Amino acid sequence: MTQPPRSRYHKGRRGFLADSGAAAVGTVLGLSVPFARHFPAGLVPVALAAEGLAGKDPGLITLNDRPLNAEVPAHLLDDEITPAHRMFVRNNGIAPATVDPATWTLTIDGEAVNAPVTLTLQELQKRFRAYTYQLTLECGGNGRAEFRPNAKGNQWTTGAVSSAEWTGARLRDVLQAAGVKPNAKYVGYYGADTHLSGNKDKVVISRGVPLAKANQPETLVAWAMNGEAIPALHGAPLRLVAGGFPASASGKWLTRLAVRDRVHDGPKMEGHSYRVPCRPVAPGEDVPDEEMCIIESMPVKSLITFPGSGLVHPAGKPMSLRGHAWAGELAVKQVEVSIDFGATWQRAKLRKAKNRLAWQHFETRVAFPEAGYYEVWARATDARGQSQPMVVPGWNPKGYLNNACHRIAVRVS
Amino acid sequence: MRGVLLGLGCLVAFSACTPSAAPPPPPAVQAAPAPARPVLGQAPPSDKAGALPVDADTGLVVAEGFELVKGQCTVCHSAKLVIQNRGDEEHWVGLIRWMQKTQGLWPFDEKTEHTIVSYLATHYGAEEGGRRPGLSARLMPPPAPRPLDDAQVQKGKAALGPLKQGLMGTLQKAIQAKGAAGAVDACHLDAPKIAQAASTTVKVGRASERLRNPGNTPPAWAAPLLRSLGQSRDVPYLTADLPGGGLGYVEPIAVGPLCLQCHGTDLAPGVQAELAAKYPDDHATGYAAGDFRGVFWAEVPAG
Ligand code: HEC
Ligand code: HEC
Repeated sequence: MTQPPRSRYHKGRRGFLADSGAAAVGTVLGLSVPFARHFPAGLVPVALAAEGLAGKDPGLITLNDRPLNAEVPAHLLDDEITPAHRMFVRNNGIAPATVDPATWTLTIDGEAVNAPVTLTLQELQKRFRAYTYQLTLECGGNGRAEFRPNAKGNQWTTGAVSSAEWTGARLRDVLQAAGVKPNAKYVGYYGADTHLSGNKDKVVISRGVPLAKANQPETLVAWAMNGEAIPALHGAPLRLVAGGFPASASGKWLTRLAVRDRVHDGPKMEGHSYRVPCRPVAPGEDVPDEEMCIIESMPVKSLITFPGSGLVHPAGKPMSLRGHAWAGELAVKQVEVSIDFGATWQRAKLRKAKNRLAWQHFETRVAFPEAGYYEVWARATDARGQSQPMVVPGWNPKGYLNNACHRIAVRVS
Repeated sequence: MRGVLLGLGCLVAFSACTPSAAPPPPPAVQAAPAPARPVLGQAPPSDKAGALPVDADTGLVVAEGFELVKGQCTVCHSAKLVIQNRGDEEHWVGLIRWMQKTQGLWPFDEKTEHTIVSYLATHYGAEEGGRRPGLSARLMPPPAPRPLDDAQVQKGKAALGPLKQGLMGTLQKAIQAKGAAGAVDACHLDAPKIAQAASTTVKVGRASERLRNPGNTPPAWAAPLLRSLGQSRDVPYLTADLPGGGLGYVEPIAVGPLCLQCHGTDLAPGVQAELAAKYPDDHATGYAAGDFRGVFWAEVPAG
């Protein structure tokens, strides 16, 4: 059986230094040599390897250019189905420089399979029936920027969410190719991205989903997005898509699935990563690792996507607004808006989701009583009656799950 | 051997590069931006912004410990990841420990670590704030515009006349004579000149959030007005008071049927080819009639 390609990391812009040795790297950067000796072989300093956002909407906001992380301002998320050029980017490592769909393979192994198997992309596409679902993917850290004390990591505001149409085989069908044993508990993924430290043996991120989520009909091993091949930044040519869970559960550049007999223990499954305190804690409190619980379904949330914040609106005219609402594994049952900081709320018109785990669309009109400064706040409520808080919800060390109401500012004049 | 590789690297890989024998370059320093409320993702340092210069390569504040932080902390990821974070010494030490334990960061001697941590905690210190920070500056509406009968507003509005007529005249003539594809060339050559010629004591121009020509990037004062007008309907103009008594004036530009030949969704192959050749990074297609395309702007001096 062949090893799946870890990466097609080609020489060139990034690769040439890998051969020239740590000392040379140190000299280029003007570093003192004693530190350069710590550089792992293969590390290519950032100065030589900025990644780009080619093909993206120019309005995206880059949080970090290596690894690439970029969020989408709310008004650019107005499309009902998120197009590729308005999809946020969350990379934990360096994306593979080139991928070859013709030779791409997926291996299914782990303690809880009957017989490990490796399939080519073509075999996957031939052998399994393809399904298409619109699936909402939100980064667990979306909204992190609002936590105080500050939480570590990319300071996402509101724009780390998307809802595109994904096409692929059902994960549960694919796992059957290797045979799932009764003791199966979790499915972990591995991808072809490479670690920032340059250490080729270091896995960047390997998360996954519990078996029950893996068995849901909408959990896909996807090879297409919005009817086209998956874009390079978003996991070409193959990725996992588990809508409603933190987007980090949906591994990109997928090369391997491990069916585990325990909770998967890859990098970023453990410690504080994608976990919140099992019980509520005070802001800034130290939380030991064993008291942190894995995030599964994301909480209820909504975004006003039209108009964008900061507009000027003529007095005396009602203002139309619209947006999306989603609630992890649940449906959204109601969206309300307020122009008086929550003193009164009015219900918006809310549509049903295209399918389970797709976001829903709302729209309404508001009338401003007189000229002046207003904020329009939106609040969604899920099928179980849980609403978005107006303030930032429970503090947690890594700043996950901020589902506080979204709001836009309007000058009526 | 190493020299050869580096020499090659200079050509292939970087724009600013030192030969291996030369000492490290001094940091390129530029003035810090004017103090502003932090804009998330491109937050100015929490230190008294404006008081300290920032490094042009990395955005890091140039102050004691800067060289060490630039050298150690921008190797694996870019400095953008560092400077969007905030915290006290404990926060930064915790972060370094985590990277050392799980992300392949090398150990530091005590003095090095101390310098790095105190630099970070001083210039990227913890932010105050309660249960909900206010909206960031880039999400706020501009101040109420000056009235239409204000003399500077009138001057700005009038100054845009020749620019509009010049552009429209050139466009219509060129389309008539050479078709849309040929007219791309005319716009390419003449549009910047027309804007220049129309600028008298009042400077004028066009700007958009989805640019064809990067030269049409708005002046700094106009960017928030452009953003706001892009979201507003039925707002005829906005203004901004400029330092020294000047006035900035902007008017929205809407897409008309004529414009679709070069800014719409279904472009003729000839137009596509011309655009691709002249504007490789073109963001100005995909518009529909009635869409907001951008603004005309005028910068009216004091008096
Ligand atoms: C050996 C490589 C390496 C070096 C050198 C390095 N880091 Fe990191 N750092 C990482 C990796 C890998 C991550 C995780 C990136 C991600 O997930 O986006 C990270 C993440 C971070 C984060 C975000 C924290 C989070 O939880 O995501 C900050 C802030 C940061 N580093 C600051 C620094 C500072 C300050 C230094 C200098 C003392 C430094 N880094 C040096 C590898 C490194
Ligand atoms: C013949 C093709 C063509 C037509 C028709 C056309 N444009 Fe353009 N447009 C261009 C080109 C080429 C540029 C870049 C000019 C330059 O290099 O400065 C441009 C630039 C602009 C800009 C400046 C911002 C930017 O992206 O660089 C605006 C605003 C604009 N056009 C609006 C319009 C409007 C409104 C119409 C209809 C009235 C229109 N255009 C019709 C070709 C065209």
